[in-house]
Amino acid sequence: MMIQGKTVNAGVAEGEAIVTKMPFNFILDLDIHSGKVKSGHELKGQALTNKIFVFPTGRGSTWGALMAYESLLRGTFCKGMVCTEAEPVIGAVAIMLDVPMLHRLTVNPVDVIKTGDYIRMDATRGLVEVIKRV
Amino acid sequence: MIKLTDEQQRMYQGERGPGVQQAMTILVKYGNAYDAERMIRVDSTHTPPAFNLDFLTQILTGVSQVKAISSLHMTRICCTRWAGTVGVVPELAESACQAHNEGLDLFRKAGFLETFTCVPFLTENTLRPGMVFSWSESSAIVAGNSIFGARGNRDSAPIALSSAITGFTPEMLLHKPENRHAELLVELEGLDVTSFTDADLGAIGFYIGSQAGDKIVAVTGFAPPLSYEELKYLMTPMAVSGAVALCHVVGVTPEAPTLEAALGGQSPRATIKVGPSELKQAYDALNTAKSDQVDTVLFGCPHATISEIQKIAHLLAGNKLRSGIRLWVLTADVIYSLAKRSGYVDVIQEAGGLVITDTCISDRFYGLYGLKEDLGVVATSSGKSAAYHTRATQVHYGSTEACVASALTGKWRE
Repeated sequence: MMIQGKTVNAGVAEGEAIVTKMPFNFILDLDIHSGKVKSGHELKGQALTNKIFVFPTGRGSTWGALMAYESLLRGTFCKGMVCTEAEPVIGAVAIMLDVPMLHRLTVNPVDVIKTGDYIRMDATRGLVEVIKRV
Repeated sequence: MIKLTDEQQRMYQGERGPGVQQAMTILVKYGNAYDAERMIRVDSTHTPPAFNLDFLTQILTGVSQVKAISSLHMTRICCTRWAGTVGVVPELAESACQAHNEGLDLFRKAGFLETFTCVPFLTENTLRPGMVFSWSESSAIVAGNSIFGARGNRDSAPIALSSAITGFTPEMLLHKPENRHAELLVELEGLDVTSFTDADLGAIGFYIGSQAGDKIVAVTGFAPPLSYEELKYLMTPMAVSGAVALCHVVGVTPEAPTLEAALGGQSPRATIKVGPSELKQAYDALNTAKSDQVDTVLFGCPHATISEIQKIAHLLAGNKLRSGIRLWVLTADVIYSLAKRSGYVDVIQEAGGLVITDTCISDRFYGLYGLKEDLGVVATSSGKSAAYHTRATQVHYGSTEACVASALTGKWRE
């Protein structure tokens, strides 16, 4: 399956998808040392590290980019992000970290992509390829 | 794609130095992601000082003076002059303060104001209707848009910093009057609005945020006037459980003289009711304590105003905190000066409490970093603070009066 979206930050990434329908905050919800999601979010205990993170939008604090940057430096951050609508705080995370990110896709990514699907994203061209897990 | 003026193009091409180029590149990407067509002047910025030092050094290279009034957000408690009083771990404090001081040196050279507060509009970084601001602090953004009628998006730290460096920000989302109309209508029902405590307002806001996501909200049913403090308690939690950047309180806030004005003549995309059961739902989410034990009472999230400090001082006057209980009131240093001169700081200290400046009582990873002692069971009248502390400890959430009473007895009573 190929989906078209709008570039937030250009670049190419591929990896396993980790998907949530719950808005995310990179300061409250991410443990920058382990790359795992903290309690209080439905992904609790799962790692974002080296995955393609698919989520609807952000919530809460506007500080997320600074914590996400520390996660990137520690090698625990995700490889790429796909959002339904990246509210500005979330968009700025991708831009500051220079991590590929798309939003405003032709279909809602959190509905059609499942955790474990393999994703190839070309955020420069605005393309997400979803290879369903068999 | 965003169109740049000649001057903006020079910044983008690097003719104004590498730092300015990096900042303009960030802003161009940001603008393109949200369909901005041009850059506009920014009147005010507010930035956390907590940047990675290498990143900060790079982006401030060659920046001798920020292009708009620019204030700094709170820092770590172990880097404030209160560190000795509250007790911090020396090794943690040492490295944190070194990073803080090196960053501060860079900010100072670039002309940032050392406000160290989450309420820049209560210091010298004030807003008027129509002004364009680029701030990183969710509670200040919803206040700036809603209470002061200025225009800003949920610009996180790198965006606010880049706007300060270039003096420009991409025109998008809430900068445009046509994008400022309410999408979610909230009707209060079955609640006595004249008897709300600060905690009731916060609970309502926390519930609304959970339903609103990033939508623009209009709330009906309040009897004007509402004070800044009442609006702050209502709106701050909307940017915790949700990502609300603009909340019109009909008949109260500047862009909502009427419901029609708040909605821009359109029908709302959704309407919800908030009554006693929704209020209880929010209280239940924020009240996680399993016993009546209280160890630490926290006020000032967002930073307390002089009126709030005055109220706490009056409640504490002539009393003593129960032995072993902490009571901290967080505020901005300029407000502290007034509170000190007015005698409130002394009253709070004589009771055993502390007024602390320049830091944050809610953010355990940053603001409270380096504290030697665990805070134990927390009591607060701040919906935001309660929500943050429920992640790590047990919380009592209730009115300022109930919180002060609990500090005197050591027991929480509804």
